[in-house]
Amino acid sequence: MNGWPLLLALSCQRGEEPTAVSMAELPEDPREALTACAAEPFEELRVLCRIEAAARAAHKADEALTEEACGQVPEGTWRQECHFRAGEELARAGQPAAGLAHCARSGRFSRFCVTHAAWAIPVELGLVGGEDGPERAAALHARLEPVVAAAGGLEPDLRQEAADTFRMSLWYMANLGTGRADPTMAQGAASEEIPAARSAWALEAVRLLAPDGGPLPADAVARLQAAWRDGLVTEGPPLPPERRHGRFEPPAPVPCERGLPWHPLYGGGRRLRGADADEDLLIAILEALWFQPDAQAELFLPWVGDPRDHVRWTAARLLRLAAPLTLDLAATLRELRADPDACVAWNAKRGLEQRAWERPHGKQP
Amino acid sequence: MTRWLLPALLTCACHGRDDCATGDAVDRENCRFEKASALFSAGDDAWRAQLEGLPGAHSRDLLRLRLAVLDPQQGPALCRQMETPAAQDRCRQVAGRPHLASPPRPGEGDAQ
Repeated sequence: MNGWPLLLALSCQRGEEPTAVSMAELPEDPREALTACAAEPFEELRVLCRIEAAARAAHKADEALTEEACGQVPEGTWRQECHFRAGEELARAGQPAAGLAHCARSGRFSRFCVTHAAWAIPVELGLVGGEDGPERAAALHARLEPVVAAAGGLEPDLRQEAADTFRMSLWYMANLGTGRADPTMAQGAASEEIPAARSAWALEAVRLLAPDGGPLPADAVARLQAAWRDGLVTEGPPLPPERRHGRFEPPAPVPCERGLPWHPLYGGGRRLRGADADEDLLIAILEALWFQPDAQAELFLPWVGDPRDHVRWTAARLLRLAAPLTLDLAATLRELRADPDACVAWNAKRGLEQRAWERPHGKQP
Repeated sequence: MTRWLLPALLTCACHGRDDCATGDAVDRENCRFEKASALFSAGDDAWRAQLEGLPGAHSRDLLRLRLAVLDPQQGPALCRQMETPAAQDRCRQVAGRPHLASPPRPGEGDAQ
């Protein structure tokens, strides 16, 4: 009796395993991979195979083969996915304009594709030479021009966002971790790039206030405002490219910020726009402070009472997300819950619900 | 008793588990997929019983993967059930891409 289960199992075997072909590893070479896909016996797996071949071709910046591979994927969801993968990988290979052309054909995935592509570009793309700040700004602008032109191929409601996202990405690469925060470069930016330039300069200027980590100086905002006003270049230790990251907040449903004009930040993050240059600089600095994982909540509290709506709302949001040094943040938020500004009150209430300061750095709910 | 019990058990064990026994290996897999996908697309959970009755982890994984491509919204759940490392790896192309679960926009229907 004990041998029956084995007997039953053996009796039902029918010499299976044709599927080993379908699950075999693809050749590394994209052309060989695409050729191998044609031999795949099952349509659904041919689709996945061709998308993988397209991604590998894009990763090697082989635009023609990428096009050929995606062209073999049936139209619809999976063709769109193929263009999405191609867009990401071409950007990663240092071809952001070609990547955007694929994002434009990725249908409902195009917004994701733009964000992924923008933040996949290699750091080197943002590193430009030049005698002085304005000359380096001009060099960066020249690199951005074909990318912004390629954004024109996207659907109309995505063009501006895509161009701004790539502006932020390239300015970010040109600043963060380089060991040099030069306000004259940011001030020399083309007008449409200035918000990104401000944000990117602020990120590096803040980092250099505490390059080894730890709390930031209590007068960090004033120091940065003065450096910007006086054109003061700050220098310090650079970061290796793989560590050029920080804390960011995915676009969160803050009701009072919905529908307001914004600029892209690191990753999929965004910040409110200021009504004028000073206000926009201050908002960029506040967001840059929060980007540093050790930035303390105390830095944001003074700005919760600012007369400018967008400054106040930015500060209220960042206050509830940061950890305090000595401030009783729970008590502060309880008070702010009764603030006459509904947006400040909403942020205080949300802060008390989520108690983000009790979680490790950067772990958002 | 074993004279009649053994053949009966063998018949019962195999009957209904997989009635795509004819043709070559690819035909068999396609037959299984056609049957399962018809039930799957109609929302009939009987496809699960059919899947469980398939002989061999590779066949079950192949079916899961093909269904995941057919309906990427079900991809993450199907991929979690993969039994073989190769299929788990291949399934990342579906489950590792959460946007695939978003419904097509009007006029963006799938041609496949």
